[in-house]
Amino acid sequence: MGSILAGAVALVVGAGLAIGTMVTIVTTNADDDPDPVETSVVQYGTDG
Amino acid sequence: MSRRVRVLVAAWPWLLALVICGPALAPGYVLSYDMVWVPNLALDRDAWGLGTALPRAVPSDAVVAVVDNVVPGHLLQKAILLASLGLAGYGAARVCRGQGAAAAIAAASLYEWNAFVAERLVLGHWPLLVGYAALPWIVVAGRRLRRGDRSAWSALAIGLAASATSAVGGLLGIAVALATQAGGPAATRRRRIGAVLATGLAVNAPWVVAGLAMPGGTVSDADAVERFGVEPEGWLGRLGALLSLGGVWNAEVVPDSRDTPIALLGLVTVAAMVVWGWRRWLAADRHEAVAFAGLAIIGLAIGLAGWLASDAVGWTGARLPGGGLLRDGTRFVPLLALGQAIAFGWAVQALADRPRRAVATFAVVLAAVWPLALLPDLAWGAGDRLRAVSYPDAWHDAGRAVDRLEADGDLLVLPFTAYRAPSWNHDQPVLDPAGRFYDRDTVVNDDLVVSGELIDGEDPRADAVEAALTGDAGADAVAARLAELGIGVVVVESDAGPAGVSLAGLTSVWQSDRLAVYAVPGPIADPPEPAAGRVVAVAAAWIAAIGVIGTAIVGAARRRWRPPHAPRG
Repeated sequence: MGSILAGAVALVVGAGLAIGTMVTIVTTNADDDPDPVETSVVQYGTDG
Repeated sequence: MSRRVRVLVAAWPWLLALVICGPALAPGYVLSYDMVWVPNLALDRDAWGLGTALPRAVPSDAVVAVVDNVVPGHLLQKAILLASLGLAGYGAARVCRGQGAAAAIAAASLYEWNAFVAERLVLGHWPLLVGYAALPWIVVAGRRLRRGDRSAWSALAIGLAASATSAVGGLLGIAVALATQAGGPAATRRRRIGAVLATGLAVNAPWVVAGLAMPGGTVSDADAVERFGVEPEGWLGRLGALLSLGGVWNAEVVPDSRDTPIALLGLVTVAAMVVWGWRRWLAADRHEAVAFAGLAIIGLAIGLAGWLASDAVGWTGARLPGGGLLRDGTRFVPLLALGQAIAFGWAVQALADRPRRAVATFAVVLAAVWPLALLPDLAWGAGDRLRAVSYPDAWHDAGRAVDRLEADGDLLVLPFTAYRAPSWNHDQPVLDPAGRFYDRDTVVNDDLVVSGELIDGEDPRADAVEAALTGDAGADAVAARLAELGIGVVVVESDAGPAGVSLAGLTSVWQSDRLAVYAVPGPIADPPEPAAGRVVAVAAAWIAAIGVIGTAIVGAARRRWRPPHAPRG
């Protein structure tokens, strides 16, 4: 019983970290344009 | 290990694979950067390695072109993506199964769910991921060979052949197979290493010989090294990005989570576990632990070389045949990933073996899901970036129009640029699928523009076509020049931008609002045929590879289905 509870707590911690990561992504990337000088980006043709 | 635990160990990697693939398993084709799949890939000169362009897709295109005659292309793509991921994790679990279930599950998690897999998946390097999946299976077979089990050669050869789906994968496979032969009986070491090298050379022969036999050689643009070198990711810097199995050159394919502080937390925690686990590995199997540490150092050195020694890497690529393989150095990250996953497994098993069950369970479960929690945006098609799409009807109609044409010559697609981001592909960039879609040899532009900088391609025929298209000549002169170059059909993708040249000298055959097909008038020169010596050399390479793979498959099958009473040889 103690092991099952410990495993469940570990899953909750892992899920919490994942959710925290996603929240961080959403809050920090909202206005984050990649810098064309610092990053390598393939240039491609686009519609019209 | 109980039956229930064995099932869990076997099922876990496949569950991860399903979660990663997600929308990619819907009906249609996943088209992302270099990942181009079409309904029926033609077994043309390029697929064999006999075209004028560098044989980058040898042997993967030939394998797909043969198999998709039996299995539809879209199903084959899903099967390969799912199997690459599932077998990668399951293979890592098999490597660590001897330590215990906790080690197996933890190794599977880290090997299957990391930045390398995320970045190469979105970048479309599926042949490299096939090779990545083969590496742990090479370890399993290599260990058996080291212990004196000569029947392991079949499994090792099949693993090496799978790794050789791409050029870099083939080199990784040989390196890993050699590492597994460290230690073992000294009397058989030379024979074992010889067997690994001979088998590795044979299964890699198609791309090696196709490259060496190219008339212009296989050298590449020296100035491109800096663009393809390891890149920093968020808080990690270049070294941190590489140590945490990322650092790909293309910033567009880096998961957003790599730009957060959580990536730094992941680097520190996983590195601590890996160091601890490696010490335990060292105590259990000194030769293997040292050999895999050596592999990791080699992977790290190649990954950093494009940044720290870009001139030397550029010189190598520009002057030595095949030296360009070092250009995109983070493709060698699997040499780190494999050792890290095994060491991580050793550490987690040490936690699982602690006497306090509740603490051990907490630590093991957390370690198993830790890689997932650090990189949650790999889930669901790398954050919904790998979505299956269908080719528009116009593409199929244009294909039929091309098939109906009796004109000789190869096919040219305009605009003459390498990549597209069509709206029907959710604006996801992809290498122009037209290069593989039509049942005709197709000349494509292999120049690449990265952050506004032109990186020269290597195909002299593409250069000649580009010169014909960009000169000051009139429409009729352009048509005449295309005919001289062996171009008989031109397809214009109007939704990818202007054609860039007057088409008035061509004969319109079929048109829609998205695509148009033209025939080049006049006598069409024969497309350049490969020299007889080159054909013979490439054919011999394919025969050698197929012979070795066939022998290995037959050998493995005979052992698998041998009646229980049959004597063992």
